[in-house]
Amino acid sequence: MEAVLKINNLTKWFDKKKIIDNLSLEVYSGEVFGFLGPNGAGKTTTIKMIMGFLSVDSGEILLNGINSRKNFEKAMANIGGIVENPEMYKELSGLTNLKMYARLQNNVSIERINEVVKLVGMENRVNEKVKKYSLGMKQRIGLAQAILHKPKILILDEPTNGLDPAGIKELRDILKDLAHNENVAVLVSSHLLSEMELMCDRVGIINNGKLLGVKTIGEMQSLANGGITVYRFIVRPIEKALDLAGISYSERIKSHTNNHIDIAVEVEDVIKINALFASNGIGILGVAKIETSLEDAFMNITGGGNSIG
Amino acid sequence: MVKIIALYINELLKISKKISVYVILVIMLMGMFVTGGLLKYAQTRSESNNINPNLAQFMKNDMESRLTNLQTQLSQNNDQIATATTLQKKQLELNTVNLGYQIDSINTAISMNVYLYTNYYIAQAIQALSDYKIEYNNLQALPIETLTQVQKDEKALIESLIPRMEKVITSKDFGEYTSIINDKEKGNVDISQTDKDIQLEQNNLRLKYNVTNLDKNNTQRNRDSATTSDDVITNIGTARRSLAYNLDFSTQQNIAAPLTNQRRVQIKDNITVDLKQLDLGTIGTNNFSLMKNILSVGTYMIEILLLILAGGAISQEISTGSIKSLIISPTKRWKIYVAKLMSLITVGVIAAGICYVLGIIVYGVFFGLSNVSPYIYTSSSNAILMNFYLFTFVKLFIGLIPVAFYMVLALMLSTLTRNTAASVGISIGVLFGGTIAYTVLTSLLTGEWLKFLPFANFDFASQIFPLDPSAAANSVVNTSITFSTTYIIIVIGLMFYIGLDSFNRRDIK
Repeated sequence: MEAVLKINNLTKWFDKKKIIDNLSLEVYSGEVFGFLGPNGAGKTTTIKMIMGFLSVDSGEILLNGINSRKNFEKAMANIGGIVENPEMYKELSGLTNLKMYARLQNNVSIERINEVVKLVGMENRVNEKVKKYSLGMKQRIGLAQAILHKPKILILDEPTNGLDPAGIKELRDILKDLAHNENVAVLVSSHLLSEMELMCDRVGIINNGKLLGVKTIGEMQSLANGGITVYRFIVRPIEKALDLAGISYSERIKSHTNNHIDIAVEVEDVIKINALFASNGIGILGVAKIETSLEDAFMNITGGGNSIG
Repeated sequence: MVKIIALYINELLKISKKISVYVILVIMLMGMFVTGGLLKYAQTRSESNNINPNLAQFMKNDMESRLTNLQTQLSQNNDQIATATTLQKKQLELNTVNLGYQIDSINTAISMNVYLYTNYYIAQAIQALSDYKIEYNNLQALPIETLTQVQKDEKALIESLIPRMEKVITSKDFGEYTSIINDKEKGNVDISQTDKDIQLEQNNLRLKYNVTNLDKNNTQRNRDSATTSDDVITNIGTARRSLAYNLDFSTQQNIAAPLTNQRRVQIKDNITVDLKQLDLGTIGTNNFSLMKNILSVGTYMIEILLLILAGGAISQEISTGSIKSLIISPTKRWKIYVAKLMSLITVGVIAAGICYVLGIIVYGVFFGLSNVSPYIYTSSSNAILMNFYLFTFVKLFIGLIPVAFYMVLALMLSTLTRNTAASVGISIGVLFGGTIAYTVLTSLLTGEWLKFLPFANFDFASQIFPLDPSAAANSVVNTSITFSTTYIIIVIGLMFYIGLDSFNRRDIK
């Protein structure tokens, strides 16, 4: 597969703080790539550097093989996208906004504009002023604008913001269709793992400006199912239970209070631990699977020297 | 270039949707009409003030009181004769005759219903006749053997002039009147040939252009406020004397300063223009200052419009986030900046065009379009005419050069501060406050360095049209047009570059 978006050793400083730290990344034609990370991890900063909002302190960005610093216009012609919220000229209609954008691209026909308007389902409202649009409708026009000129790379920053569940599904289908049927490289950023699972082929995880790793959704899921889940055991007396659990699972105990112990174990171990507690006269008030926070998931995926693909 | 044009079209589209643009244009329309109306009102009022219905009566009363006065003098004189010595008697008898001449002249004026100022030359002729008779009488009284040759010539001249002047009073022949006073002037030995020539020219001009009335107000007569042909002819005389004696008599100061070369050229040009104006018969039309006042309202609105647009050009797009679609598009940032400036210039030109058309409409509605004086300028001492409406058009656009300065300043501030309120506020502050500050500064300080202030280099219009009757007073700081042009280009270029560089380099977070 061909890497249409290639980032090599990208670094960015804000004041004296390193925001992006030696980040390298490849996105291929025909895939939806998820850019996953908590708020403030550097997702939007990276995207803004790709899009030309921010200067690059070191490293290079190749768009369809063209260095965007050396030939900005030619490189940028391969890109379409939305950064943060889609912002348009509010006094103008959605259609006029699209026409204005089309004017800055090469060879976008009026038929193509109508086609994308239909694709995002805005044909009934496209002549209204943007200030009358809801956030979801702006997202749709934003998407239409992003794909107007048939870019080889489509970059969407938190694209599901403001969309209703039906809209999110629609967007997912459009993105998958673009990637899998029209061979577009799609980069989507999000801080929601669940969203990534349904949409992406591969996920790159970023935190504190560093790319922690890139995994396919398959790998992610097997890792998650294979042992990263944390279970909360609400038990009495807690001290005795801690001692017992400490014998076999000392490294797996994530935290404890005088009410419960959180242990990261596989499903089979939950049964074993339950049995262990029960046989030692410890009262089990409840066992619950804790929704793994994203940060924990990252830590689990990347921590402890586990191999990352 | 294709990209810049595309960006430029988009910019114009965006501006065309801004309500503020239309609000300002409507204010411009209303402001210009109101100004036109007020000017018309002021003009009508001052015209009605000029025509003093009591003037004739006032003059008549004046004449009659003078008559009474003279008659008193005459009776006193006659009383003195009774008691005078022989020597005194002779003088007193002479006075009796002279007073009689004066009384006669006033009686004639009253009986002919001719008063000074309203029937200028007839009144002058009556007065002159009395003067001539008195002068002749005085010369006649001297023993013939004591007369000098000059006195003899003078006596002979007056003798020949008296019957001619008597005829003029009945025939009312302005040509003959002029010829008589010219002949009298030629015989005048008290003044230099130069002054004589100047006086003769003025007399002949009055005849040529049939200037038979004096200025009704008889007020001050400098060039800027010349409203009658009589004023203009007087001005020509003053200018000729200035040139002849190399002293500036036109400043109305007690001490006439020597002429600079520049002032010499100015005075020469003024004479050429004044003569042409007499020829055209357009004196007192006042169209230059009327149009200037009407257009100045429009110019203010253009300035405010452009500063609001330029001050928000970059900052507003960043604050609303709409800049994103520009940055994402495959367009270099400098092209965005250039397209923005181009669109602002276009808006300025369109607004100036609207202002011009409105100016002509307003002028036409209140003052009529036909009775206008053309702009008169000189080329190698020849007067050349420029159509007033063409002149107005060119002057309006030249007047917008400083606006370009403020506009580029606002655009630069918009880029640097990324704050619309600050950039619009500061640039409007510089526009109004700076001009006032400059005026204060130049009144307090002097020096060559003042010309390096932008404000000293904004008055292109009066440099290009030095003979514009409505031009503001000469700047206290001397700058040449070459200096001003170079200076303004450099300053505007610098501000443009600073803004462009900042926009090019700085991150848009």
